[in-house]
Amino acid sequence: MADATLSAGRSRSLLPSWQTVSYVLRRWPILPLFTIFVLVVVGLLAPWISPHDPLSVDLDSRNTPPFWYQGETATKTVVQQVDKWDVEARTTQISLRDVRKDFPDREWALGDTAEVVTKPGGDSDHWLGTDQTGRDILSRIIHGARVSLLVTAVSLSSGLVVGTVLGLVAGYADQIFLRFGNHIDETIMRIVEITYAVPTILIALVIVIVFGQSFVVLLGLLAFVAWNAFPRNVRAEVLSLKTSDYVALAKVAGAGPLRVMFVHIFPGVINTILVISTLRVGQLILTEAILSFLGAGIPPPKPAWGAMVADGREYLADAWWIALFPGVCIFLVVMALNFLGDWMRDRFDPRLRQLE
Amino acid sequence: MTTTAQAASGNGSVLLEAQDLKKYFPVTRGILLSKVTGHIKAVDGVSFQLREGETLGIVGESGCGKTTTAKMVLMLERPTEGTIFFQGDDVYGGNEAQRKEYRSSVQAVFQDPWSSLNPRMRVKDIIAEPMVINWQLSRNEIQQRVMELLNNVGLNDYHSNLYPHEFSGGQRQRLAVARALSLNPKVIVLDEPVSALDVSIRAQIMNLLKDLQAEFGVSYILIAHHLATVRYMCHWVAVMYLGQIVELAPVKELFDNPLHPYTKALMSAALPSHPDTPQEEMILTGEVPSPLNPPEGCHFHTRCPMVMDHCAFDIPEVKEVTPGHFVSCHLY
Amino acid sequence: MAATETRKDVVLDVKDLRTYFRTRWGEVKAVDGVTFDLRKGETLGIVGESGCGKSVTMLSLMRLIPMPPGRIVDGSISLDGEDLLQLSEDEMSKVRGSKIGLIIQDPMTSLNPVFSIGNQVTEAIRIHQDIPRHSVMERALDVLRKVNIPAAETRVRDYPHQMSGGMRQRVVGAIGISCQPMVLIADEPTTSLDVTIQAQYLKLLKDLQQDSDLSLIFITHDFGIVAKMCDRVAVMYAGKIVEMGSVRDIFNNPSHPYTEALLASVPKMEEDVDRLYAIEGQPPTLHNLPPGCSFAARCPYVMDKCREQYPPEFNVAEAHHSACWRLE
Ligand SMILES: Nc1ncnc2c1ncn2[C@@H]1O[C@H](COP(=O)(O)OP(=O)(O)O)[C@@H](O)[C@H]1O
Ligand SMILES: Nc1ncnc2c1ncn2[C@@H]1O[C@H](COP(=O)(O)OP(=O)(O)O)[C@@H](O)[C@H]1O
Ligand code: SF4
Ligand SMILES: [Mg+2]
Ligand SMILES: [Mg+2]
Repeated sequence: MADATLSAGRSRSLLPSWQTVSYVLRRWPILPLFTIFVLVVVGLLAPWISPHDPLSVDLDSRNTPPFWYQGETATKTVVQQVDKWDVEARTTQISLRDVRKDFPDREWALGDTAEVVTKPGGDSDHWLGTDQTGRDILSRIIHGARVSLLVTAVSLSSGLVVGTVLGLVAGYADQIFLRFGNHIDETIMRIVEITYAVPTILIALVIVIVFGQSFVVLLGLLAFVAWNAFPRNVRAEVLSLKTSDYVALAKVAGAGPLRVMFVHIFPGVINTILVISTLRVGQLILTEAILSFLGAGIPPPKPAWGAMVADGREYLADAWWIALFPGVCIFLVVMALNFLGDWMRDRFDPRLRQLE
Repeated sequence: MTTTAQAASGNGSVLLEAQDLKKYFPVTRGILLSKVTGHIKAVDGVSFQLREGETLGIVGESGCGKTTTAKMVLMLERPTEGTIFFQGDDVYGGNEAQRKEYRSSVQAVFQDPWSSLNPRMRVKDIIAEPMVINWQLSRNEIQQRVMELLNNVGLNDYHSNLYPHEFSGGQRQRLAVARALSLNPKVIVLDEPVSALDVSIRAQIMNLLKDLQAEFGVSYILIAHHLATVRYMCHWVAVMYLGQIVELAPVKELFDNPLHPYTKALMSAALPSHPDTPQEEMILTGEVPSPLNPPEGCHFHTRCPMVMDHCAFDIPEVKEVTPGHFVSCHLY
Repeated sequence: MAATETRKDVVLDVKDLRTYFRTRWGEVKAVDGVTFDLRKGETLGIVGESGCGKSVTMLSLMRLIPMPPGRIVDGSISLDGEDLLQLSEDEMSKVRGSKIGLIIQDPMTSLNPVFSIGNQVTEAIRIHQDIPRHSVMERALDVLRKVNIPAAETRVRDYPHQMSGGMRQRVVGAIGISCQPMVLIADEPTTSLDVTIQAQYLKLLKDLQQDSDLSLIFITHDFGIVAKMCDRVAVMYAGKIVEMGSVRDIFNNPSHPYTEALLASVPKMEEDVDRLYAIEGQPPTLHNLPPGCSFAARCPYVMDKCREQYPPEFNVAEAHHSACWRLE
C-alpha cells in the first residue's frame, strides 16, 4: 500500500516518467529530426569545425584507433634472437636489435626487461582514428556530410522540379489540352514506368567505365533516381483533387484551368511532394554511398561515406573504425530520413501508404 | 416534354429550360489504341423548365442521372445532345461572353460539406472567390460583401478568418450556400444539400434555403432522394428513372395523385412519419438495371408491378394527363 | 405477478453501461449510464444523431470496443442470464455470432474483399457451429436464400466488389443470422442504400425476425425507420438515453424536448408542412460536457435547474420514461 502511494508520488515528480518520454519519442520524430539537424549543421559548417584537413596524408600515424582505445603493452625479456616460429617466445621476448631501435635512449643488455607496446592506443588528436593513409576519419566524415548534402540537394531539386511538373501535366493534361490530354498523360506515365525498370546501378557502372568518374555524371544519375517517384504520386493526387467537389465549384464560379491548377490543385500537392522528397533523400544518400562504394560515385580524393566504407573493407580485422564510422553515419541518416518521411506521410495523408 | 404546356400552367416566367438533354459516357477498352465498346446512357433525353423564384425537385434512385443532369446545367459536363436555354438564349450555342454571364447566374451547393470547400483556403477567400473571378471590386467592397453574406446564412463576421475544418457539417453547408449566393445568381443547383448532415441540422438548412429564396427570389433545382424533403422544399417535381424523367408535376399534384408506377413505388418505399400511417406495400424487386444496357421499351418494365405485354418493346410517350402533369407510361 | 412474467422473456438486460474513451482532449464519455432491456421477438430502436454513442453502445454489447483508448468502465450486460462483462475473451468470442449477431453500417468494410461470399458465410458458420464439413455449404446456401440472394448457388463464388451495395448488405445480414442468434444488432444497416433497396431490406429483416423469434436492436438516426420497424424506442443524446417508451407513446406523446424537436424537424411525405421546427445549435461534443442536462444549450424550455443538475428519469406512463426536469 505504502509502496503504491510512493511510486504514484514519484511519477508525479518534475522529471517526466519513462512512459511519457517514450510516448513523446514515438509520437514525434524527435530523434530523426535531431539526426538530420546535426547532418545539415555539420555539412554546412564543415570547413570550420573539422579538426583536420580531410585530405592530408600522414603515413606515420596510419590506422590510429579511436581515442578511447587503450593500447596494449607487454613486459618482454631482451634476448639475442627471437625464434620466429615460437608463438610463446614472441609474446614474451624481444630481440636486442629491436629494443635498441625502439628505445634508443637507453642502454640495453641481454636479460633486461622492457615494456613494449604491442598494439597502439587511441590519440586525442584523432577522435575517430585515422585511415590507412593516416587521414583523420572524423574530418573525412564531416566533409563527406557536406559532399553528400550538396549532391543530394542538387539532384533532388532537379528531380523534384522535373518530376512534379510532369506529374502535374499528366494529371491535368485533359483539362488544358482537351482531346490530346489523355495521350500526353499516357505517354508520360509509360515513360515513368520504363524508368522504374531501369537498373540504375548497373547503368551507372557502365557510364563510369565509358566516361570515367565525374561529378556531373553522378549528379545526372542521382537526378534520374530522384525524379521518377514524383510523377506517379503527384499525378494520383491531381486526379483525386481534380474531381473533388471544391474544384467543380471553382469551375462553376468561373475559374479557368490555370486558376484551378494553381489556386486549388497545386497547394494540395505540396504535402505529397514534401513526403516523397524526404523519403527520396534517404534513397539518394544510399545510392550515392553504394555508387561511391563501387567506385562509381564521387571521384576521389574527395571524402565520400560510401568510398570510405569501401576503403576500410580491407582493414576490417585490424582497423575496423575505418569502415564502421562512415557506415554508421549512412545508416543513421538514411534511417532518420525514412522515419521522418513515414511520419510525415501518416500525418499529412495516410492514403499515400498505398501509393509508394 | 411539351414545354409550352408546362409553361402555361405556372405563374412565374420561365428562367431556364432544358431541352432533350442527353449525356452518354463512352466505355472504352484497351490502353493505347482504345476502342469505344458502348455508352453509359447516364442522361437520356431530359427536358424541364425552371421558373423564377421556384424550386424544381429531381428525385430518383442513385445512378439514375440526377447529378449528371445537374452537371450539364452547371456546364461541368457538355451534353451529348440537347441544350439549355437561359432566359431564352441557347447556352451551349452562345458566345464566350454569354457563357460567362450564364455561369455567374447559375451556382451550386453540393452534398458533401466536407469536400466542397477547399481545406487550404480561409473562409473569406472561399466566399470571395466567385466575386474575385467575375467582378472588379475593391478589397473593401469584397470584404463587406463577405460579411453581409455570412450574416445572410446565419454566421458571424469573425468566422471569415477561419479555415473550413474549424466548422461543423451544418456550418460548412451554410458557408457553401453563402458562396453560392455571392454573385446574386438567378439559379442555384442543390445536389442533395442536406443528406450528409445530422438529422437535427437538416431542418436548419432547409429553412435557411427557403428563407433565402423568399428574400432573393432565386430559383432552385433541388436534387434529393428523400420524397419528404422534396415535398417540403419544391414547387415542381421531376421523377427520374434510368436517365429519363418518367413523371413531372406540381408538387401537390404529384403527391396527391401520383400516376407513374415508379413514382408510386418510390412513395410506398418511403418511410412513414408515424407508426400508424397506413402504407401500401408495393416493394419493387431487384435493382436499377445498368445504364449501359437499359431495357428496351419502357425502361421500367423489368421492375414494374403493372407491366403489360407491349411495355417491353413500345417506348411510352410523354403525355400531359392533367394540365401540368406529365407522365410517360402506357397506362395513361 | 405480471412483472415477473415479462422479466422472464427478457433476453438482454443492460444496466448502467458506461464506456469511456481517453482522447487528446480528455475523457469522452461516449456511453454514460445506459440502461435498457430487450424481450424475445421484440425490436428496440436506438435513435439519435451521429456521435451520440449509438455505435459505441452496440460495440460494448459485443465487447468490441478498441482498448485502449476505450474502456467499459461500469455496468452489466446480461444476455440470457449470463453477464457478458464477466466472460473471458475466449468465451466471449463464442457468444459473438452465435448468440448476438451484428450487421454494421458499411457493407464494404464488413466484408473481406479477398474472399468469396461463400467463403465468408461458411467461415462464420464453421466458427460457431459444430456441424459436419459437407453440410456447411448447404447451410450457407440456406441463409443466403433466406436473405433473398437470387441464384445463391452461383453467387457464392462472387467477390464482394462484384455485388451491388444492396446485395452486399444482404450478405452481411446472412452472416449476421447464419448461426441463429437470439439477438441481432443492426447498426444503421440501410444508411447507404436507396429507398427502394432500403424497403426491400427492412422487409427482409422483418420476415427473418418473424420466422425465428429474433430480438432485434435497430440503431438509426431516422425516425421513419423507427416508425416502420420498432416496438420500443430509446432516444439517445450525448451518451445517455433521454427518453424511452413504446413506439406509439414516443410518437404520440414525446415528452423529452429533444424527441419532440427531432420529430418536429423532419419533413413529412403525407402532408404539407408550412415550416419545420429547426433545432438550434450543434450536437455537443462528448468531452467536457457541462453539468446538468446535456440538451440544455439547445432546449427551448430550458430552466435554471436544467443547467445545474442532470435530470433523473421520470415516468410518463407505464414503461415510458424521460429524463427532463419539466416532468418533475
Ligand atoms: N464521368 C462518368 N463516366 C462514366 N460514367 C459516369 C460518369 N458520371 C456518371 N456516370 C454514370 O452515370 C450514371 C448516372 O450517374 P449520376 O448522374 O451520378 O446519378 P445520380 O446522381 O442520380 O445518383 C451512373 O450509372 C454513373 O455510373
Ligand atoms: N475509437 C474511438 N476513440 C475515441 N473516441 C471514440 C472512438 N469511437 C467512438 N468515439 C467517440 O464516441 C462518441 C460516440 O460515437 P458513436 O457511438 O460512433 O456515435 P454514433 O451515435 O454516431 O454511432 C463520439 O463522440 C466519438 O468521438
Ligand atoms: S409503361 Fe408499363 S412498364 Fe412502364 S411504368 Fe407504365 S405500366 Fe409500368
Ligand atoms: Mg448524385
Ligand atoms: Mg454509428
